[in-house]
Amino acid sequence: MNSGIADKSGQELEVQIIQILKEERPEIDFESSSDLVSDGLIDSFEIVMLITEFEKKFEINIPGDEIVPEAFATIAAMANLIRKLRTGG
Amino acid sequence: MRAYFDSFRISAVIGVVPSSVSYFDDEVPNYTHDVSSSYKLKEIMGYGEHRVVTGNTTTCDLASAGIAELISRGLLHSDEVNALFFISQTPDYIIPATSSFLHGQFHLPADAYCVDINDGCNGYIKGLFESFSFLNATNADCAVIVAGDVLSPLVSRRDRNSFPLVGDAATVTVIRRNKLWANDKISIAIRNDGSGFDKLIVPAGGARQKIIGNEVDELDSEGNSRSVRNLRMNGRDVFAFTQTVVPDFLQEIMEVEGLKPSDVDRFYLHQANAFIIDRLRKKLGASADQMPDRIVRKYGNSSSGTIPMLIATEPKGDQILRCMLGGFGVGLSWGAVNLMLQPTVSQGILEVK
Repeated sequence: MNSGIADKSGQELEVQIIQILKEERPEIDFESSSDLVSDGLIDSFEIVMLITEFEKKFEINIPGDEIVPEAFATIAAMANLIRKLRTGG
Repeated sequence: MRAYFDSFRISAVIGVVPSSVSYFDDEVPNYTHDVSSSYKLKEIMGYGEHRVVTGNTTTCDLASAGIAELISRGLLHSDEVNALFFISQTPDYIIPATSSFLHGQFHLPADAYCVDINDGCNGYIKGLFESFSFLNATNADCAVIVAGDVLSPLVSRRDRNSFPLVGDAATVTVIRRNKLWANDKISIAIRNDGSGFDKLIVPAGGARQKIIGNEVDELDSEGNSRSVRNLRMNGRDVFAFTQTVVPDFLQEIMEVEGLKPSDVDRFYLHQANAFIIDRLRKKLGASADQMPDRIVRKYGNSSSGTIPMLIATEPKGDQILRCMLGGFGVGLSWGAVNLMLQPTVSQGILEVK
């Protein structure tokens, strides 16, 4: 499940991110929020858990200066972050 | 600020903790959060056990036990103490200074300089600067730093952001004029960002907001419950601070000092939590042996006490260690010290009832 993600479409990546989020907080509709952090749907400790999950699942290393609230504000922002780190951008 | 000293050394460090242990597993039912997320957090953050006082034990009580223990081991004598710095956010009284109480309790000399410094996670770095500066400005030979906090009474039991982290402890460090390593330079750098003063705060209890007795617990957006009498941490901003400002600062200090990670035997960094230590290891390219996290895992985060707790628990060896000490937290404030430590410095952890 964690291999070959770079070959998959961005949409599939977003589906996997939603799946990870749902595992953490199944009761929340993450797609309906325009800012998950500001809306209080993701707190600082959940960001910590997401970093750990993303690094493990997508085989990336998220540097400290990328760990800003905006990077976790939406599914698209998280996908962009992962895509950027996967391609070394 | 940056400062350099070359004629002083740390000669002994001891940690003191209460014997009562609180386990994260027992605390999980106190939190409103999903149980499985709490256990996942336990693994990531290194939550397991931490020390929490029972009754009215104070930071000063723990410190007294540590000073008495060093005296009983012949590592300190009351009549040789020229200065005592009490670094803590939990003094016995608003008035007078706790250092004055300790001065009286141990019958320190009348010309001993005693002062309290209200500081937390970067407090030990400031305590070292104060001690070296004091010794540098006088012809004195011995300064003592008490650093630590009994913070658990100020933290809500229903605050998952903070309660699992806190560990009550005090430490005692003896600083002496260095007759052995006169050529060994000690460097200290300290920085502050007061615009972040409210990122870690106990809102009530000081002159700005008095406790009137009817403070009620409120649930925050992250599901934690606390009142204005409790410590509150802006987890998001503090976390961002530890991931950006702190590693950049430590890298800068390493460059200024001309040190590569492999040149440093130990990075004794403030034990905020295991996740942050792990991130700092990766950023600085240090191993787990070089940058230990044993204090936060076993005892919890005792603010200014964690760095000296690391020194106190260094496994016995015969090597002189090149050490980079790093503190960061409340203020916001952060700092680093580059110095050498002798293997005989570490005096372990004393448990008191």
